Amino acid sequence: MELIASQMTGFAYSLAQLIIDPITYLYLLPAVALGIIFGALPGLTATLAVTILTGFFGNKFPLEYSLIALIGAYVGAIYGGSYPSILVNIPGTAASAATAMDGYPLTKQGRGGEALGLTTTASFIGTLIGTFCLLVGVGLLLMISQSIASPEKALLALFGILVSGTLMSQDLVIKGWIAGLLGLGMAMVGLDPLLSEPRYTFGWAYLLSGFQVVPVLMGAFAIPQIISGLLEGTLISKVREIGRIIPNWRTIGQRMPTIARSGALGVGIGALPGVGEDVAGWVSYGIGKNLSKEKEKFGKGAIDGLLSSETANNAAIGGALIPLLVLGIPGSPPAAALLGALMINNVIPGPNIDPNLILHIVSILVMASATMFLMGLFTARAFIHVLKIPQSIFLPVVLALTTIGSFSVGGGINDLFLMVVVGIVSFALIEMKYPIAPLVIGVILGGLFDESFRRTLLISDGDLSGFFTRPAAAILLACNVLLILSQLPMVRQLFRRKIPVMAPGTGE
Amino acid sequence: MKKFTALAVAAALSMVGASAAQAQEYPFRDITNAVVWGAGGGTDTINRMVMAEMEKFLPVGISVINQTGGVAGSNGMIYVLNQPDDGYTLAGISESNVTAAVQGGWDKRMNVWFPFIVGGSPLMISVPAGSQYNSLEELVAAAKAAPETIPAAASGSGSIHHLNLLALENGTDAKFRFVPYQGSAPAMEAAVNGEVQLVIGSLAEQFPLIDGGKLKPLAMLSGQEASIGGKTIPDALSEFPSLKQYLPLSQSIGFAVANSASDDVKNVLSEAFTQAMASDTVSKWANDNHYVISGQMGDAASQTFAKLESVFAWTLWDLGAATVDPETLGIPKP
Amino acid sequence: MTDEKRSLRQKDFWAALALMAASAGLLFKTLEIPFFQARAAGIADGKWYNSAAIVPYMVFGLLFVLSVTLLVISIRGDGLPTRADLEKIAAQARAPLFQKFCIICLMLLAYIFGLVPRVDFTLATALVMMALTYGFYEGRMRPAILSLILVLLPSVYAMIVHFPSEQWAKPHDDDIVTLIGFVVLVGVALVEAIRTHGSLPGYLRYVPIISFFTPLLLVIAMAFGFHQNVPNRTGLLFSQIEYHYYVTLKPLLDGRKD
Repeated sequence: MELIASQMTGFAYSLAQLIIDPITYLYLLPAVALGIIFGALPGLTATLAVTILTGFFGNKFPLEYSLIALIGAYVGAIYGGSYPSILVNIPGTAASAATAMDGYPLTKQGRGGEALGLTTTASFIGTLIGTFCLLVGVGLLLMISQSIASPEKALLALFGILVSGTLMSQDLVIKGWIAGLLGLGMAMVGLDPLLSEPRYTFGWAYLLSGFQVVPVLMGAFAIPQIISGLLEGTLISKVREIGRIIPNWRTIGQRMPTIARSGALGVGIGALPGVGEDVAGWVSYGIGKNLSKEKEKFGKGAIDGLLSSETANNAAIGGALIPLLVLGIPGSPPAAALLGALMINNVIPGPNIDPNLILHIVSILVMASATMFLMGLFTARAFIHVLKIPQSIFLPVVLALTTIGSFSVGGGINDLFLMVVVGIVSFALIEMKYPIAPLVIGVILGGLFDESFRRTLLISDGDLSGFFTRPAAAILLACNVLLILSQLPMVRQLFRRKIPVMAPGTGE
Repeated sequence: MKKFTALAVAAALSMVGASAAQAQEYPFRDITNAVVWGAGGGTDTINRMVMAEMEKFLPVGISVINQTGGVAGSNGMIYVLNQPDDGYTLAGISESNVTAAVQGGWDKRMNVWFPFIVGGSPLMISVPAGSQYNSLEELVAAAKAAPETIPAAASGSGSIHHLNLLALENGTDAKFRFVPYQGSAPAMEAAVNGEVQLVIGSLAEQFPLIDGGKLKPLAMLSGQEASIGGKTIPDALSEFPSLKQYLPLSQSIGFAVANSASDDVKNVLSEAFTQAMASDTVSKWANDNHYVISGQMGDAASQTFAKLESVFAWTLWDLGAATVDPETLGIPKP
Repeated sequence: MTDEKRSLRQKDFWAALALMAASAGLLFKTLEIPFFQARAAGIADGKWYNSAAIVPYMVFGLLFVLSVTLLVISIRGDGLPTRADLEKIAAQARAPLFQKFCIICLMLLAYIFGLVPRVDFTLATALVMMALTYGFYEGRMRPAILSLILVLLPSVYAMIVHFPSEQWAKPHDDDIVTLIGFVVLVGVALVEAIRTHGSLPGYLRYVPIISFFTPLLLVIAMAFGFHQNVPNRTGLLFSQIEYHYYVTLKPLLDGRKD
């Protein structure tokens, strides 16, 4: 309780500072608008919005300000994905895929405006739930994070890759693991962190520093979208009449239990490493359907379905930032992009992170969700026009943005070479239904695993006991083992039970 | 539409014509300084500080960017050398760049640069606050009693911190168990949480933790005493005179312009650098941040880098941590 | 077993083979990293457990095992290709979709590896943006092929004439070739579209403008607004923009201040 009180006062102070600073709005308003546009354009994702902005801001702007833009775009993009889901039955981002299930039927019934009003409110409340959990969760985690040394770091990194691989798989779980291992393998490239031994550089000196986060993200999330969008050709969406966009407070009030449950679910799923908004939306939708009294309405315009997915995907934002800030493990792909931005500014998230930075981020989240709410209610019509831009016009623009953004973050032209190769490989993987998030998480956490695993052995003279004699390490090891066992066919047969079937995310 | 295209082409072609008349005195446009290390690190911070000061003595601005990657900053150094040598692109470098060639990052030596050295922070050795060792002598005695068991943290193999640890071992005949970390911050974190028993780093890096009571300073490796909060940190070189043949080996952070640049460019930069180094801002910054100012440039700075290059390259080669024989690069033995 | 599922398992079959080959190759490559006599690099003694090769062996070994498992799963899922399937694959390789995919990949590779390092960013990007939009807007094959040719010509020229990185910043002949490529592409697009449709399709009226001005504005915003590094500062257009920014524009603005 004391913790919550002290966090709250710190947060109130930080929020007040943010509100009275006029420069805040200079960054916040365009960023949220840009986020909504990126979210609304099918194929452009929150990850891409945050990554491209990372390239533009680099370390040339004070981190306090560039974070406003990055987080604003993140929140806006997760919300913006609901526009095309509801209006034209094409999810703007994978996070809003479940929203289309009930949103589009509502539009067909001529209730599109009502649906947008509800999702706008649900997204707003969802973000606030996530933010509150972030504020409390970070405080709690920071207290135990001091006992984290090399063995725990190694096991945490492994757990992150495994969870992401297991939960992001659409097809076979093994594909998620393969994607995670490919990422881990990519992280092995370059000088090894302990002995400075060159590995797999194939004579390209630039690779001695290994795969950098930002070009990998750009490659994995921009290039495949550009290729597949161009292959599809020109899709011009026909937007129906939607009516007035107003939040129906009475409906919201009646559905509060749904909103609270979906928010909590979203935070929990968001907090899992590399499992973000898209899975949160689907799982919450699936659970909402199972628990609902009016199951038969789902898929035909159920308000509960709409609220389940839209609350959860926005709540996942706050959840995704918890492991990012305390452990340096991104909870979702856009959070991985945020990690890239933090690292460019020499902020290494971890137990020693500046507590004021966390309060600042929480304040930005609150401001961003409020901005998103107001924009959603009053300027949604302007954003709907964006849906009329054909993708073969805007995807080449995205290519230009990605190229120049990726160039500026560090490695210059070599980063671009890496980006395009990673991009084409990622396209092939996505085509064969491999999730791409575990690969990115593998690249980010692979080096940490390698380094801390071997350092543990170096200090203990090759003795493996460090991984199970330390209490925190033992718990983590157990989690890893259980997670693997739970996916093995033999074990699954032992515990064969009816598990609610949920459509997994599409691996944004 | 066609009209527009024709217009664009015409505009483009007229610009080509204009390029002939581009003789302007150096510098007429902003200078770019590409720091070859990441943002927030020592080299980056110093370069941003000094460039801001040099701008005051130049008619143009200096924009600092980071160009990282490769080994020992090789990606950034290659980038700068591939730009025209007109003095508009500088490289922010440090002593750690001298190993780029022996580690296979590029095939050039440091003599391609015309360097300017701002200075560095003195290196020191510290132990966790609760450590049983209260002086360097106690620590060395313990290491001699049980060689290769006391874990010692320093940033990666071949870094200046690692070379100082090696010099300490050579000068005192003690043997530690070197545990490399990716940079000084995680190395210090490991010392604080007790994973290692000593850490070598610079005063600038360790000051906040010493001040906060999380690390206990044992000795300076720079050949000069220092004091933190009224407490004097002894000089290791006077405690162990045999260290003098290996130490001090100190940081040399600064920037460089391609050696092939014209004398005009070098003179303008030297002038601005000298004025900046003499300014109060720089000395105040150095004092506040625990740095020692050097101010070397040109030939003197080149010699410093040549010496560092030879020490680093041959030490790494002898350790088996280098991939290219320094002999083939023409680097003389120290 | 639906058709879609079966075709996915077939893809898995080939992917599993590719992954097996890749992981085996990388395991072989790992042999180059010292293992039992790990190079010490200043660490007291090089043992197997701190060798740089231990985690790679784990990763690629596991990857090999998983790809074998995937192979088994795919064969059980009826993914083993029959003779008819092989013929289907050959037919797919000739299908427009696959050819378009190859064209996009070639354009991207030519853009990033050929043009961006050597040619002014605005010119290179204008050419490629124009090519991608015109080539794929209508989904017809002829625009795609024409675009590809006009992207490849300047990139191959730039690659051949100025291959080594020391020459990237130097002369501008490849910039001019790219500019000509852009102008020709715009011309070809207009003529081809008018001949096909009888009149100029709406989108082609503004696509050349978007293609040219998007990268131009981006590069100016990036360099002077965001103060970031931009590709090819010595490029044909950018060097002029930079020159006039400092020599013509800046004194004007500064003069107003005094």
